Amino acid sequence: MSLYKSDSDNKTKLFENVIKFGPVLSILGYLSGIVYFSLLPHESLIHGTYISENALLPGLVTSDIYSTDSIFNYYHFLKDAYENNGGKGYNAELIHDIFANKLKIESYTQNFNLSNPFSNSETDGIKSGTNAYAFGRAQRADGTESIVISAPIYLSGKKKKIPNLFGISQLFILADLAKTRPYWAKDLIFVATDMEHVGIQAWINSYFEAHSDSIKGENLRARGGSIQAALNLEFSDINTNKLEIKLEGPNGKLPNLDLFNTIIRICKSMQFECSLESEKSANSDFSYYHNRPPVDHVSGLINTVNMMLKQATGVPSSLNGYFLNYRIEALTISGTRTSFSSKRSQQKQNVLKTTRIVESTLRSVNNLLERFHQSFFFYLLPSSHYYISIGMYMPAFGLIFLPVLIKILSLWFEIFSNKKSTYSDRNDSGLLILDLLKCVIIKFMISFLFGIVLYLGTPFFLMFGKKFQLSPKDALMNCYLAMMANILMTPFIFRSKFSSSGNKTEAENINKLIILLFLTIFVGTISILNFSLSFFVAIFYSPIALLAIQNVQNRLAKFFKLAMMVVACPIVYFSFIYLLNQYFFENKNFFTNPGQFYVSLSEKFYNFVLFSQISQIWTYEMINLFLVPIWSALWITAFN
Amino acid sequence: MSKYRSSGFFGALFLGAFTRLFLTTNQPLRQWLQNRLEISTPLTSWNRVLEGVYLKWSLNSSSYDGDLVHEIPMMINIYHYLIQLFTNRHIIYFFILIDCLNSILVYTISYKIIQFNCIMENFNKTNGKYARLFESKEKKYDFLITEKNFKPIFWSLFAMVCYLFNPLNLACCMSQTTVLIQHFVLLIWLNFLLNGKIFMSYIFLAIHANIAVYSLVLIVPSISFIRQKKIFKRKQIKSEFNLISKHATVFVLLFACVFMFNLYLENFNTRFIDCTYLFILKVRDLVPNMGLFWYFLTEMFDHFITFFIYVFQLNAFLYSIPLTLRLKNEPLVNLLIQIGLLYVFKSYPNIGETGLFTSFLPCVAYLFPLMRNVLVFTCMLIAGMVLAPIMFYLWLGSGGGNANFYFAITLVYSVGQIFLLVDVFYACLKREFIKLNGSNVPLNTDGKPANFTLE
Repeated sequence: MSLYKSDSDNKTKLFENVIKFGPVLSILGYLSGIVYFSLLPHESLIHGTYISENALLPGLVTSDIYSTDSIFNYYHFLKDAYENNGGKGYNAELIHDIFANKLKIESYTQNFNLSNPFSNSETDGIKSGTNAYAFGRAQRADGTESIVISAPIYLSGKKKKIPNLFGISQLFILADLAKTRPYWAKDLIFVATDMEHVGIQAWINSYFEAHSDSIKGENLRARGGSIQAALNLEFSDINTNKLEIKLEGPNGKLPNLDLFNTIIRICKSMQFECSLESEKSANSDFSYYHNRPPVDHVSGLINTVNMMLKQATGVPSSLNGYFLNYRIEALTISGTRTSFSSKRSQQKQNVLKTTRIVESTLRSVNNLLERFHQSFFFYLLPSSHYYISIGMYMPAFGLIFLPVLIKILSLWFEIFSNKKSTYSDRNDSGLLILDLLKCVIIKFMISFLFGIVLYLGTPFFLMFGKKFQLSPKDALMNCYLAMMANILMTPFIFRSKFSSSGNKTEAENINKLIILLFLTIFVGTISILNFSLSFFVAIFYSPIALLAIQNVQNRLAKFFKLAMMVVACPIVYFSFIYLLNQYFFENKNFFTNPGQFYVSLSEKFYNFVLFSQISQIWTYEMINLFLVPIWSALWITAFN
Repeated sequence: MSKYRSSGFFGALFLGAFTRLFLTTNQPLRQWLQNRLEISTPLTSWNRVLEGVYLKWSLNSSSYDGDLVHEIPMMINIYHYLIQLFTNRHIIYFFILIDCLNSILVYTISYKIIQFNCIMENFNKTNGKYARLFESKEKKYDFLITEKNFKPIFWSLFAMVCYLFNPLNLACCMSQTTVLIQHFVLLIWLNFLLNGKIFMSYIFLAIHANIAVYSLVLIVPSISFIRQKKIFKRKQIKSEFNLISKHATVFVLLFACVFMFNLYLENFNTRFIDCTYLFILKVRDLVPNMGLFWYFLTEMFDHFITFFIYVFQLNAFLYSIPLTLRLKNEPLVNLLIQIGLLYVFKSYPNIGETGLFTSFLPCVAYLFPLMRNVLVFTCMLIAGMVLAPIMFYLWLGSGGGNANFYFAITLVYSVGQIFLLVDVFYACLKREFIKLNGSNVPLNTDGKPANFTLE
């Protein structure tokens, strides 16, 4: 023991233990993290959902909708308008007309434009549309609070747009209730939006007077009180016998779990089938009135992963997501049809029940005394009756990331135990700084330069594409891949520049430490904002980063290391996940047909980039600005 | 002047200025930074200055109407002339200029600090104070710093680079907070003090103490420094009490002069006292910031608040004299620690203040091998800086979180700073112990090697 050292004996012992047990602990931590995560939907760990906010009182009111006649009236009226005249009669003007002249409530229309964010010219590719919105003012309330019920006029279908006739018809029924019934404590705002994701954003942005670069909407002429909740109705067909709830908002935001629970509870009390979007469950028998269905581990895990995949992209699963940007709890109720027993009486029953469910949900929200603040904002759903809260899934994430943390600790100890030697010879400090400059700073500057080029480059990529007569999607994909190839080539070009002189190990250790710290900061930060994204990054990049900084002598091992690093290129990794997702969840087998996969991927990629630019989704930018530089630095380090 | 003639100095200065000029082109970033609560505290927000100037010169009323402006009248007047000179659109260039001047001052001061420490150790060595160090078994010949093994030019350049490229300072410069001007005053005080122009230094300390009341206590370490300098110039100190009382009186008189000048500028209207000095001391504005006050005081029942404000404010002033007594042989480390402590415990801290005192750390780089928790506080500070805006967004933006999220992060940030300061203090004491007693590990009464702990 020497007084010249900073650490006491205990700390030296800790250091020795970290060096000794570090690798074992890392492997153990990583594996147990994965095992723990896959055990999360198990019976013994899972919790059933419950209503946390007492004021909601779901399903306690008697419905005020007695017959389906008026629903069918509206439905057939809209259907006629849609089928005659090639669908041109079915638009926001018609809906505005019904609101204003038939129902006689306050109603307006709003025009908006969408311009292509990547095109320079002002007039090129501008699309425009019209929204209709109406206010059912609460008779006895002071109008300080409101609820939004929105429905897109058209839904995006597989081949062509499908009219949302039943959803819009429900708006009229509810508007009639809002006008005639005295019990409403909150204004109801009815919004029928055009152009799917664009119209709703135009309306919400105008409502809050927020600025958007590519979507320009007219100013709204009236407003309601502060919006407490929003429901989005999507019904492609009037024959529905099952409701699916969509939750995921932009950038991994989720609505309060209470709202979701309310709808599930109401559906149960109405004996109507209701589930998460594309939920898999072993028993489709929906006869549980009082109890929860039993836990099903495998399908629970599949549902969780499916939800995480959707959340990780940051793209909202439906139009409800845009409300979440403004702290409005919102979800989408979409109707699907599972069986084809089209008995007339059964169909009528279903229509009545569906409408009553929406009405009952609204009246539950109507009971609220304060904003949604109880229950959970961070959760995963393995099924509609069970949830995994943040306290349960975060440890799994921590365990998976443990190897990197242990490595950081041992690198730190290594650097500081070697410090004595350089400390005794102070002339080395200048040399060390020079080494750092060569080995670390230049490497990071180049890596981050790539990131910034990718971040700012999309319009330029498309411009290049135009020069070479490529379609935008090909241009973007090709340019992106070319940039990746550039990064892959960097260590060959600068080979001599990166190798350091003098005390090499120290500078290299510092370099490794900084890369791992960057990775930790990136993953840790994202885990708070969008857990799923950071989970998918951590589960792969945590072992890969350790592999990349490991010095290997064996030629075969080195080849394996470099091959893994190529796979670790963000676009390769994420398209691999996309491939698996398509295979397992969408039943599209691209393994046999790589050419088609490339076409599909580049189209998806272009749409994704365009969509993120329009809707301000930062997944693409975050990956370009941080993950690509980290990967690039790892790649250069792996080469030396 | 030869110390300014290195290419590194000009290179760093040029690069720093260029980075700042480049960042000014990013308008959304500047807008965002200007609205950040961590930077634009009530005491440093530029928008509030504009309000004060407008109230006084366009509306002909007092700047302090409406309780928005908390700058002292003197500074409001200076800003008024600056705005006339530069216009509000181009005032950012003035801030860049001040920031570059600050960095030059950091360089000069660091150079002086290192030089002074080297000379002091050499002086003590020749006086035979460190005899036991050279008798000890395990020898380390370069343990004492000299200008050869701890090059002032290199390390002060390092300090300057730390100031220029610290993201906290860049953010402060881009958001045009007046904290830069407070830094400027503080750095001029340090510069004069180190150069031995004591009266001038007191003037600037008095101005700074008028702007931010807490820096009153910095008179204690500066007197300690002057005393140390006297010893080392072999001047006889007749009576310590005389020395202290003389300097303290001069400082208090100067402080009063600056105060009277402010009063005169306000036409002897005492309204501003409530809006500046008392505003700082009473902590009326509980808008969140990176400090420790706001959360406690919002959570507390009203009838306890007065008591706890007394306790908290005492905490800020309390450590000055004990620290000075303990570190009387290391007056410059004492100065740095005390500046840091003030910045942690003040009522409206600004992240730029952390940026300032951390950029002086390279001056005491020789203490780093003796520190214990470098990894811990580095991680805490990084986590605090990165997560603060995100937690703020989760609380007030997306609504998924609550006030505790942000408070937890500000707590991590503050505790990280305290760890840093305590570690500097610990390393300094340990180094002093080794210098005086040699590197032999002393034994406890039971015969086992003793541990070195901070108690």
